[in-house]
Amino acid sequence: MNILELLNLAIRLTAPTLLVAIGGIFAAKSGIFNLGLEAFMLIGAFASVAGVYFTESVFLGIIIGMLTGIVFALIFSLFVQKLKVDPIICAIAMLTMSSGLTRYLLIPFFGATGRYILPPQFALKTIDLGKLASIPIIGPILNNHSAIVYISIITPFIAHVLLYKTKFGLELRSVGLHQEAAETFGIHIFRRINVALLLNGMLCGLAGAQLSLSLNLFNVGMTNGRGFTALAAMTLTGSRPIPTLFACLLFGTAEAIVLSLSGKGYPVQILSMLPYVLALIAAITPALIYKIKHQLSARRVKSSLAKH
Amino acid sequence: MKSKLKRNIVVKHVPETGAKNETYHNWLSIINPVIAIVIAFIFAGLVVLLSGDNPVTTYAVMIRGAFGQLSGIQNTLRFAAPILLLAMSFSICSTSGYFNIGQEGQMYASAVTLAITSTLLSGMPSVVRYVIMFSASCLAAALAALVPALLKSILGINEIVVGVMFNYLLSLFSTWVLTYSFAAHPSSSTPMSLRIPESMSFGLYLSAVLVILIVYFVFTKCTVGGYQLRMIGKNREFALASGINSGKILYASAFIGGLLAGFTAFCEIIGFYHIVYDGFASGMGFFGMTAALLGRHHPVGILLSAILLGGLQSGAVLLPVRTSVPAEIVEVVQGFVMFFATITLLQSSAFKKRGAK
Repeated sequence: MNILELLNLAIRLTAPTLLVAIGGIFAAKSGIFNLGLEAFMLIGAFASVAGVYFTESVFLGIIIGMLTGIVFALIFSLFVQKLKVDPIICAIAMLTMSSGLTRYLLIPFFGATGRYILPPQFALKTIDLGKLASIPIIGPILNNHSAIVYISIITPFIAHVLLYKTKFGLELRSVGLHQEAAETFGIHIFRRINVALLLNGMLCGLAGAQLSLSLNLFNVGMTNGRGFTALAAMTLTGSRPIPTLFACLLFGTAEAIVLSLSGKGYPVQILSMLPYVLALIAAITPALIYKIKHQLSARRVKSSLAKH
Repeated sequence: MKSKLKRNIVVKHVPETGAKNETYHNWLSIINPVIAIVIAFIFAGLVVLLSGDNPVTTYAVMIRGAFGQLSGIQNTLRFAAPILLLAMSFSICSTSGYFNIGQEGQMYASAVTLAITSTLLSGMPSVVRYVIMFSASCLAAALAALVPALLKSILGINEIVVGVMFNYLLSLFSTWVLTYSFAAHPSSSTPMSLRIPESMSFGLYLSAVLVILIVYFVFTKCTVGGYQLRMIGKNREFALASGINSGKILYASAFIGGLLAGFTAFCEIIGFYHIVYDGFASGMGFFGMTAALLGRHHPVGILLSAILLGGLQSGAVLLPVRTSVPAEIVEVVQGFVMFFATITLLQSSAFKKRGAK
């Protein structure tokens, strides 16, 4: 496998994590740290496979996946905002619920335990870019992906424009920074957070659809911590959309390396640790840098005080 | 200025994760979990109904299986014991504001250490083996719990993200050890360890769990340490101002939580399996968490919730035999129970408004 093929695979594997991370950014900007990204993604993956199975149309399957993500996000919103549940505990509860539901529903829906593989005619169609594919380096990397992957690549830019260049984004961020101040200004907090979580659920559902339909199967627990990896990416970049794209590309590349090296005699388990280790490092780095900076400046102040 | 702003955002997204410990003297706190359980069973019943089965017969079979005969009750207690231990582990951590989601990882750490020490000490007398295996496996789990606590306290990193990553890492590591290392079973196709000859009677296991429950009750209610623990969980700044070393308490609670999770794994393997299987702990952490949340971190509440969840698991054993409902329905019920147990009626705005009028 040459480097271009590897990067092509990396782009495909980046897509779900990236979509989820952007969804998480919308929630984070509205002031809700959503740990339930993984749950929405898992439900989205299951719902899109079920949708494809029952409607026999890939497009409708993706739509159903997104709608299910939205429904769950709105339930989350209701619990957090109206019933005043701790968002963290609610998110973990949704994670438990989604894993239980998908594990159970797999059996009556498809008559399969643990894993269901869709018939091959429902494979997610890849798009040939035609002449654009002949551009050196970029062409082969970006060619032959599904539509969702292309959507995922432009999502961070859309999110950036939406968050930083529109009235809606300004209001959303003000809700996240200071709820009382935003309310005084006449912003409807409940609606803004609802919209943010709706976008969050939609993107998570789409990510789930990409995850399951690109492999043409649903596997119990197939999200494999990607929701939390996305959270680590958000922490690394301070919840800014465009840097998050690069952080997610890093994770995608790590996954691609793992995938291409597995089955070549290396122990799979040790290789598979790589994305998780990277995510851990990503989560730790910003705080570590801040701490070191803080201590250095404190020392500088101390030494300058000693001189006088 | 810019960096300061950035920092603000980062800090803002790392919230305090203490489970708010409601006062449980209120009558609502008893009604609340009951309502949660009822709603959860109704919703799970709907799921069963939608998938084409009769929920009433399903529940009847489960109740008969869990509490009907002596063997059923025994089975229920067998499943309730680890849930109770994990619930206490979760509860003691969240009282001090540390969300211990890494219990499964801690159990894998404990199990791997158990497998390795058992293989290393194969020639030693049984008593020595027992003591070393016990302490090593519990300590390994405690250390696995301590790392996220250290990161949280020193750098302010969300312990849930770290805990989940640790779960995956430790689970992969345990699979690797059980497949390739000297502790692995040489002739088995699935990853598992060599047989561990020691055993532990179920009576001993149960009594150990009950003793720990009583100690936990006395500790959180009647000792200075328990008081400090609750204080830090409720209001960190106030506790700091009163001169409590919050870091130390946080580490202590994480350490104890890890020890309990490790002890659970030790008991499960020594008591029942005698072999460390790959993925033996999957999903167990969630059950413990559910019991702790449903029981509102109160010892009696935890005990009752653990028995309920244990009953669910033992009742489900008969399901595939008597009905066409798969045993996985347990996880649906458990998920719904946890989900609805998060609602506190007192806190919800609908209730507040009515009170204000």
